[in-house]
Amino acid sequence: MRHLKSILVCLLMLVSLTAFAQKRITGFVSDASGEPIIGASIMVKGTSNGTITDLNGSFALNADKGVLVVSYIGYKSQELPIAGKTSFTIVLKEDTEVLDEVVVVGYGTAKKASLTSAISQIKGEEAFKDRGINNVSVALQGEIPGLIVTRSSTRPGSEGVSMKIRGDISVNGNSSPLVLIDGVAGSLDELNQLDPNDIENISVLKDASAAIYGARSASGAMLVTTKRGKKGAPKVIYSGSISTTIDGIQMPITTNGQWLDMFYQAQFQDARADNPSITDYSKIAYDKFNWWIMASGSVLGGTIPETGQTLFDLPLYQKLRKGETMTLVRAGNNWVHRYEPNNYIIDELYGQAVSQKHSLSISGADDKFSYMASLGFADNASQLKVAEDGEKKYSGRLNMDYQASKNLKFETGMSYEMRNITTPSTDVGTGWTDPWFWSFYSQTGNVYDTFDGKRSALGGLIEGGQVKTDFTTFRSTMKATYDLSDLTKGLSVSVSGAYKTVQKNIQTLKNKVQYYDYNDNPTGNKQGPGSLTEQMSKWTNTTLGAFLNYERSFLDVHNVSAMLGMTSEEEAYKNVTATRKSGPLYEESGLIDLDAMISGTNNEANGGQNEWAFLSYVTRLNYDYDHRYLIEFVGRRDGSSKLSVNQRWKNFFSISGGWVLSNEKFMKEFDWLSNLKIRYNYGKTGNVEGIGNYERFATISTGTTFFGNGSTLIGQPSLSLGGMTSDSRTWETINSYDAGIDFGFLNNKLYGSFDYFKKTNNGMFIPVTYPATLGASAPKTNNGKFNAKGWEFTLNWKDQIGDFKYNIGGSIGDVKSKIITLENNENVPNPGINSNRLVGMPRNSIYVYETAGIFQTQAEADAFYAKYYWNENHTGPKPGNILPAPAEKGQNRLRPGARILVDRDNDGAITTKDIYFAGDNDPHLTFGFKLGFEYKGFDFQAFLQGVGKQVILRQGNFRAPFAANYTLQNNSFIGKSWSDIAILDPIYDDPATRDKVESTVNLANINTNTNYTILSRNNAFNSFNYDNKDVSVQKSSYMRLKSLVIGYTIPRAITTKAGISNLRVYFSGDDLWEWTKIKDGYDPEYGEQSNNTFPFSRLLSVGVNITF
Amino acid sequence: MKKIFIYIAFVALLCGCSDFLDREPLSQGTEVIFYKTASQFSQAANSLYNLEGWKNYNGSYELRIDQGTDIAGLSNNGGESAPETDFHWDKPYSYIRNCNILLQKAAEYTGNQTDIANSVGTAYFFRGYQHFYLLQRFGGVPILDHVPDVNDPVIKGPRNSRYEVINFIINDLRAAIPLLPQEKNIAANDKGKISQEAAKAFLARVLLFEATWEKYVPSISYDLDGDGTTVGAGLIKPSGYPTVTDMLTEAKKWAAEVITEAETGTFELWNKCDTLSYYYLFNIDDKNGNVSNFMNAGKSTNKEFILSVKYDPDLNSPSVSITTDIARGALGFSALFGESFLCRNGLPIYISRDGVSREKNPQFLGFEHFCDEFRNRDYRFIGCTLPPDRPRWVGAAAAENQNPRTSESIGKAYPDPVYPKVPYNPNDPAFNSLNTIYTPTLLSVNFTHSGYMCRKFLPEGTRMLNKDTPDWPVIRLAEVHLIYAEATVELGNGQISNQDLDFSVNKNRARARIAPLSNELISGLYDANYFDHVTGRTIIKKMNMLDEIRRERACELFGEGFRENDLKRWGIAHVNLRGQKLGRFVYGTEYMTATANDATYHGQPAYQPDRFQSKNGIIEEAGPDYGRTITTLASDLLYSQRNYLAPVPLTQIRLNKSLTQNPGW
Repeated sequence: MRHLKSILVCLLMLVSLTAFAQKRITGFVSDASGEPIIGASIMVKGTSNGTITDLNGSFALNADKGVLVVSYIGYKSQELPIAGKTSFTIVLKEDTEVLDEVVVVGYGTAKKASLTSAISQIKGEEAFKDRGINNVSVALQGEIPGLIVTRSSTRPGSEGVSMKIRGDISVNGNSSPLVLIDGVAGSLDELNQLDPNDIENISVLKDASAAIYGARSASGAMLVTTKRGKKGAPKVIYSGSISTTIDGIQMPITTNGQWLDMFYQAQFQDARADNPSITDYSKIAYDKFNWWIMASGSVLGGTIPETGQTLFDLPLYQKLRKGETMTLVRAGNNWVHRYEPNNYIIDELYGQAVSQKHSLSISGADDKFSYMASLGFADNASQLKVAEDGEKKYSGRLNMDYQASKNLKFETGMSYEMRNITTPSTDVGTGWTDPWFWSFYSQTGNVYDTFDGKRSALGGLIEGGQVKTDFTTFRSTMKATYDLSDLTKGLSVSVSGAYKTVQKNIQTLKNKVQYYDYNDNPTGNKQGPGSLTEQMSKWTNTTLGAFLNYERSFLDVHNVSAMLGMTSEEEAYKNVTATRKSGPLYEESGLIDLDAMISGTNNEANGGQNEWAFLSYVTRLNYDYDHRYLIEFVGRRDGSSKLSVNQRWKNFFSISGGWVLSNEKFMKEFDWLSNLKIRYNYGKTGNVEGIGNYERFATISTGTTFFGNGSTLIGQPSLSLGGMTSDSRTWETINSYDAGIDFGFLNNKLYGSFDYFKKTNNGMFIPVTYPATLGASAPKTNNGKFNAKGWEFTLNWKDQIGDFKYNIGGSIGDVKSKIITLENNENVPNPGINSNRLVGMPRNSIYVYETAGIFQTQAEADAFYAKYYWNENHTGPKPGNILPAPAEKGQNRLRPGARILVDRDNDGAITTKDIYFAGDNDPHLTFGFKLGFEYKGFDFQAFLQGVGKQVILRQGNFRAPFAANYTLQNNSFIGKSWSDIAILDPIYDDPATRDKVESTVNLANINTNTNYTILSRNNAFNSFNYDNKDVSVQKSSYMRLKSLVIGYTIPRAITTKAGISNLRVYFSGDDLWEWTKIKDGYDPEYGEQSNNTFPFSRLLSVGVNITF
Repeated sequence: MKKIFIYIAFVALLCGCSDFLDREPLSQGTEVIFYKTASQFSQAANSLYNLEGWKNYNGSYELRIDQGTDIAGLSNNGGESAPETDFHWDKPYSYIRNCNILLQKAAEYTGNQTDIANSVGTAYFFRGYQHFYLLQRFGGVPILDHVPDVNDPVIKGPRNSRYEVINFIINDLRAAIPLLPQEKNIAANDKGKISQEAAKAFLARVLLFEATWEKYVPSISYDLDGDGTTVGAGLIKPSGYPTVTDMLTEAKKWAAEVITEAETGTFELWNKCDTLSYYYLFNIDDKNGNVSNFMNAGKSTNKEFILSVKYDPDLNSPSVSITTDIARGALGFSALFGESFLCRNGLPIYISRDGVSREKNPQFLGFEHFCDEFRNRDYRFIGCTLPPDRPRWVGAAAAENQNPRTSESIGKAYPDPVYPKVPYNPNDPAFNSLNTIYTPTLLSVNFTHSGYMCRKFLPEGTRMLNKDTPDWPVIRLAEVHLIYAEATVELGNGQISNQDLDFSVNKNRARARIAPLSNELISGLYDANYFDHVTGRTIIKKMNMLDEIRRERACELFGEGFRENDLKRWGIAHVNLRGQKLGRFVYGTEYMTATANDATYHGQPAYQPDRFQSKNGIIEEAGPDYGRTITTLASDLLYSQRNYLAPVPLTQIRLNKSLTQNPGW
């Protein structure tokens, strides 16, 4: 290694040069409105002789012959023969063509026009500008075709984001792309730490062109480039905004009143099912009713202190349903209970949160020196009202370039980012378990104990302590490029180095939470005695590289470019964790730091470290004939420290070609066609998931064995060889194909592309089981096969009508994954979600039973039993039967209001063989759609994002009515249940006459034309009716207004007086509106789980951008 | 020139960096550096101490504690089918692999072999130990004597016969003995490591097991060996395979060596707590001032355990509530077993001199009064069960160490009892006291009255639940006494000299405060309280030395996981674990006259046959069993001859087609 470093240093020192002088010419460059263009490039064509315009748009150059090429990003280049002239006035025209856009590719850049691969790039301005959302990965949702971003929450810092490019490539891991920030490999966390304002652009390598990143390229690569100084006067930009959340889709959780109504109906129907002989339902309501927690002696109710009377059963129900405030004394423990039944826990937990963010940057450049410095701060809070939940972000960045001499250029960058996420240590999202009939707090404001059960969400949130996750990243990069045109025209050499250190510190403080009754008698506690865990993880990464670049055109038609380089990368990881589990050192001292560890028992400390290294050779070779025929080869040879010498080196490559039909002579006649290119890419990429850092070693596992002969044992170290190693394991290798077409019409006002792709993982890791006599588990081997196929389509329209500039466009794509081979697989689907186990099916396949409505009468149910349940002799069920057993009475049986299942395989029985494939829960047809315009200082942009096709099977306790009978319920089921009778509302009865119902008001009406089964509190019956049934499969497709921005730029005439060159104010909204097919009330992005009270939020922001 | 230089530099860059990719684990050692020194071998040997203690190999507290045997109380058994997977099969093989790695590395060790002798001996011991674990359960199994790779033929190979496995175990243990240190030479900090004596005692156990198996199991008339190709592990006997007599002789020899060594002071029966020594032996736990017994005798006083699993509340807690999960929850104590404990004169509670008439042992006070039957008995009886008139010191009932009662007063075996007052007063503090003595009643729905409440292992002291950390005995001196006596009586065809008895089991009996066993003591006498498992009735049987030594074994080793294997090797498991089982006496006892004094039933009769009936009825026919409950019906006990060997897990048979299933599965 030292060897490598010294050579790199030598290379740097090699670089020195002198220039030669010629005749002097001068000029001025402006745009169409006469404004000087600062930083435009003026080159003598075919030479490296050139300069750039200064702050006044002027330039001076030594040249006496040839052709001047004047260019500036966003403007059409011009060529002017010098022809002896010494002074020039040049007016550049704006370029509406996107094809000259420069796209960041692996280890370099390329013009979009010459791309032969599926690479999408988005400008930071486009994706992040004016968004209230401060998290880069969330903001990218829907922005880039083929990049699928999912989140499960709107909690800042805890969004549960995952990111995939073109779907999965393996059953292992989460197929997350390789993220590179300014060329340094990083993680999703690091991406989210960035201040979005610092991002110049993000380029996504979707096909085998990512092979230039070798063994880590299988899931694609995401290249993030930060902003650098641009030629011109120093620009000081401040942007800031303040945001507030408003309620988005709330979790569909019942109020106490709703719960009581559902409870009464369910208990009523259950009592009927248990007593089918009783037809006088007014009797059932009294004689056979199970009041459960409201029954005498159960957990609710008690004695009214003033009168000494006890309160339970119907009278208690009525008071609770009417929302009467009561104070009762509980039998047994004499705790005082305060009933406030109108309380709704969601309202107490969540409110509105205010967030803010600010960033300030200074940038500029002259001939030799350019700089961009920025500072950012953001404070984002979630709607959790009672405790701190959110993130704070701090960032600083300094990017500088220095043209040391004519041939030598340095580019450096340095950044420091910190992100602190704070969440409560426990009870986030809880509060859904029990109906909350009580006061939230005791008389003096202590945390009130529900159900004597230590289940108050408020207790844990307020007093339970916090988890503080601090990410800190320091990144520095340096690159020196030496132009060797003097030596060989078009040749340059560059060396680069980068150092990054990432620190993730997690402090978990768990305080003992004490609960009280209303009179402040302590009842119970949890998390006692309290613990403090400090976990510190650190990654350091050093990346070095040396590259030769060659770029040249021959005979005006042969355009050749080549890059050859090598890189080395090493990363070290270290983790230290220490825990004090025995609570504070002394009462009231608090748990602040681990100093207290020295005393106390039951403490823990552990840690670990590892490192890995890559040594790689990379190349990219391009040949372009007359901008019509394009060929590119990308290759990488990766050597990895993770594998044994036999498996260490592996080659990855992609080869691609393109044909630009629109540049063919025979196409020139079609004026309306501005661009038409077809391209094809094939290659092999590698997947790193599942390869350990020390694959080739049989490592020593350590432990402790205790010996000794007395009251205290002595732990002696024990060591053994851990696991087996296998020399035949290597990277998962993915064969990838992409065929695409790019097109542009009407002078590229309408442009877009279409791609079809297929990826096959031929050596997927799967575990192979050996007989136990082996005595160890064998490592996973490359014995599986997996593929993914899909397509992407984008279409955009951009035009200007007078002052009215507008654009409209979008993208849509789909990908389908399939497991091809799994050795030793039985391949029988199970009801529900089959993850990573069925050959020929997607990763997560949903299998359900088909249903055919609801039994209306017992006769129908009995006939069904006769046909599908009983065996020939009527002595027992048919083999494999899954129906509940028939009975004269009882809740869990087929009866009126129960679900009818379909015997799909026609074997005369309802068994697990009757399930069918109902889709997979991966998002399909993901799309993004953008609309924007600018007119006289006003600007407007709307961005819609969504999923066209996805099915989910709701999990958790809210998946069906009373799937769990002790929890609050999903309020979307209210009023939908089957019932063949009307149920009278008992709230109006006089409890004194306890022999018949007097109410005349219906709580529920007859409702037989429905697909929701009869209400019951029997879990088994509810599971039979809803679990893994087609009726429970939901379409999760949605369209969401991710972002809406309305801005106004104050006319320059006004602002310049205040020394401000640009002042823009805007209003923006995130997640303002959505359309969804989800029918049970959850947010479509929330996922399949349901046990959560944490709502989704929308974000409203007002902001200002000021440029001085 | 410059160009050339650059090209050279580049080429240089591309080469010669190979060591850059050679990264060794930073926080873990690797094979490369390990097994180089004697201390590394010693550390490797430390990793072999995989023993079932309060938890089994699967990490759960479901132990081999005689649960579901005739002495612990049976509810149902048998009728099961072969399981898909079984940790009893998987885990020992993973432990054996580590033994083989150590032995393989030892063969490659370049240093002086005597430096690593102890470690090598330990590996031989545990390789034998784990193979014996498999053999007891499954019979013949594949022998693993080397470290296999995935392609090794043994992985897909057939089972070895039980005789090959036994031969292999004997050879491993014989190899281990000379390599291991003598107990007296093991330093205090190393106590608990395998000693020569532990290996000898364990080898004696193996030899006695196999000798008696081969002697008695043929009598069950069931081919457990099979042919080895379609069913069972086969009959192959290695050349020079020892005879039953050879094995018994050797078992006796090793046991004698251990006992002789013990007599020099190396080991001794723990006798610190007077007549309750046997009880307290199993819950000695003394760290942090935790009072483990009323004599305050700590773990360092225990020289009885020859090999044990060592626990510590802070360093190595078993995380299991011995009180609720083991002593009360899992381990029953059957009525028939309770009655088999001798009186202090060394004779059964009922005897006969002519084989016909039945007389009460003069020391036995009968069942009429609740506490009578506990008097004048083998002290192991009340070491294993709770007399109804004595409260006990108890571990913390609540979390957070709020212990109400500790055995703080040294020398006092029981706390002072509290009695509810008559007439009934709901505010009587006795109802809230943990030291209250209530009159026993039969007032529970469907009572079974199957046995006595188990006391063995029940901890006393201040520890909170889940923090009880007594050591678990793997081999203890009392067992070696029993091995010696049984081997001797088997060799003697039922005869054993008084001298041999005094050398062995009479030491156990001395601690239990019962008269020494001698040929004269039982001469001409009949046990008139012998429960015949075939007929399900108490009979009169001539007393003999073999029965008495087997009785000693049951009374001494109750709950320590020996019973089912003992019954199997004696060829009577399918007899003792089947048939109708009887419970305790109801008729003719105080249950018929006493009144309840607890808060719920205060003043009511202790037995109300109209309201609360015995689950399976009460024996009404005249005879010695008249008036006792029936606890288990014969129809629930299906243990059969095939249960002598457990089924090989089906997954393993599918993965290795050469594995044959045991007969009958």
